[in-house]
Amino acid sequence: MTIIWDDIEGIAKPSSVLYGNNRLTAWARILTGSDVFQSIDLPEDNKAVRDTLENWLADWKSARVLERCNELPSEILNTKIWRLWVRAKKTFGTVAETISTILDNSISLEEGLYRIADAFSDSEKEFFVCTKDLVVLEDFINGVEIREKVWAYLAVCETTQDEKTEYFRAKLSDIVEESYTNPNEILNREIENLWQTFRPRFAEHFALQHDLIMKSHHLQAQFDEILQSDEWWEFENLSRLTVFQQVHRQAVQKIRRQFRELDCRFDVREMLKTHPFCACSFNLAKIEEWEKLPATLRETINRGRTSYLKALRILAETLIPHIEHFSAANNEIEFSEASVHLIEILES
Amino acid sequence: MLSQMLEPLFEECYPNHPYFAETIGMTEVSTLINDFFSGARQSLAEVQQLAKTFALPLGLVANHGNTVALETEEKLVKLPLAEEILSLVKTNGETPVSLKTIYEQLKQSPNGLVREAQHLILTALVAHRQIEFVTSKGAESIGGLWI
Repeated sequence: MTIIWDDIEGIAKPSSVLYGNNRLTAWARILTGSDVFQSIDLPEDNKAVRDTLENWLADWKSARVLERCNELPSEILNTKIWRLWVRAKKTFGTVAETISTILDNSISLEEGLYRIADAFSDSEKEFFVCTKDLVVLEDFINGVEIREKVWAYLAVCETTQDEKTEYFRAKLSDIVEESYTNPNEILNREIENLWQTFRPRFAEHFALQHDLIMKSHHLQAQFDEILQSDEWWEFENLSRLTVFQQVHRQAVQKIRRQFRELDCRFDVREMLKTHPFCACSFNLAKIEEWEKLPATLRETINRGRTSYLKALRILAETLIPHIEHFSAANNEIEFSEASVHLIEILES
Repeated sequence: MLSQMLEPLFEECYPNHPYFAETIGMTEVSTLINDFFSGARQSLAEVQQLAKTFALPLGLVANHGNTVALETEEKLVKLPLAEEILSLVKTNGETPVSLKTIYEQLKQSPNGLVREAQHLILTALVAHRQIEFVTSKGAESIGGLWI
């Protein structure tokens, strides 16, 4: 802070109460919580006070509360936390600076304790309120990592049909929200506990559903059966003809690509530790779609075949003479019978 | 050349004026107040250099090996300039002494102090809680100024 000399009208005797050494000793006790000294007037106690202040400073530096808060992305801080941080800087931050100057003998112990008392307006009540605020700030910082991790996971975590899993999700979500506005150690622990309950439960549910679909022999067998059917043979051969619309062929190709994703080789349980999904295309919302995929394939094939047949019947007048011509040119019975059958279909 | 010519004259008029190796300005005073007297960055090399250049000749700091630190309260209040200020405060009793009065008094012979140097002395006295600055809002302690 800069002194604005133009604002100063004059000088006077200090109006504030000068603290006696007993009061300053009391402040050393209040701050450090130590009572190994009687009075800063005594040389041996003077040394003891300096030692306890040194310990306080070491603890303060090791806790790095202000620095850790400063390192947090600004979007994480809310107004309440920002205020607590500013207050902690003005009170405990000043105390730390003052103790440093006491220890390097830049100011006397008395002067330092005087400044410490001033930082809290010489009020023990104010000191304890500030201490409580500092604890809240520290609890917020301590909870940041787990809170952000849980938040990021829940944000993209699909809902399940499992009631208990959903109960834990709702509770976890509420507590994370609560710990953001009203941080405390109990909530941090509760988030940790709920997280340890919810995540494995969700992961197991997801992995189970994932394996049921993505490693399903039944689906694979149904798929193989379709690809070995006469209907598939007919569809595949007709769909290649450029005379027909490609829409059915493309729809079937899409379904076949989905089928190829079956037999997922990723370690889904390992992936679920950090993300609520697998690297494959599986998701809980599409289970039914996956289960119906063989039926969908069959329907698409049949729709294509019907469409192709309709087109062929429209062209019957042109096609039948050609078929008859080819049949006449070929002596094989099988070929002749097939030609007759095809003509019957086109005329029906 | 002009300063060399005037030096003997100033010596004669203001024998109590300390010798500053450099010209003191508001920038130097602000740095010393914010970083030295507040205790915030006393150990910084540039702050130490400023303290040695301006606060040491005024007797506001004392050498401690290679560094300088605030002079003790006992020694500070015995400095002639401090005594002069404290005497004015004592004489005025509960009534504040205006800065104008201080400025007028300390610029007279034999001190001849410019405002910048006077500001350093006043701040040192505030830092040792010997006086308080009085603003239109009332008294400002060291806490009100720097914390």
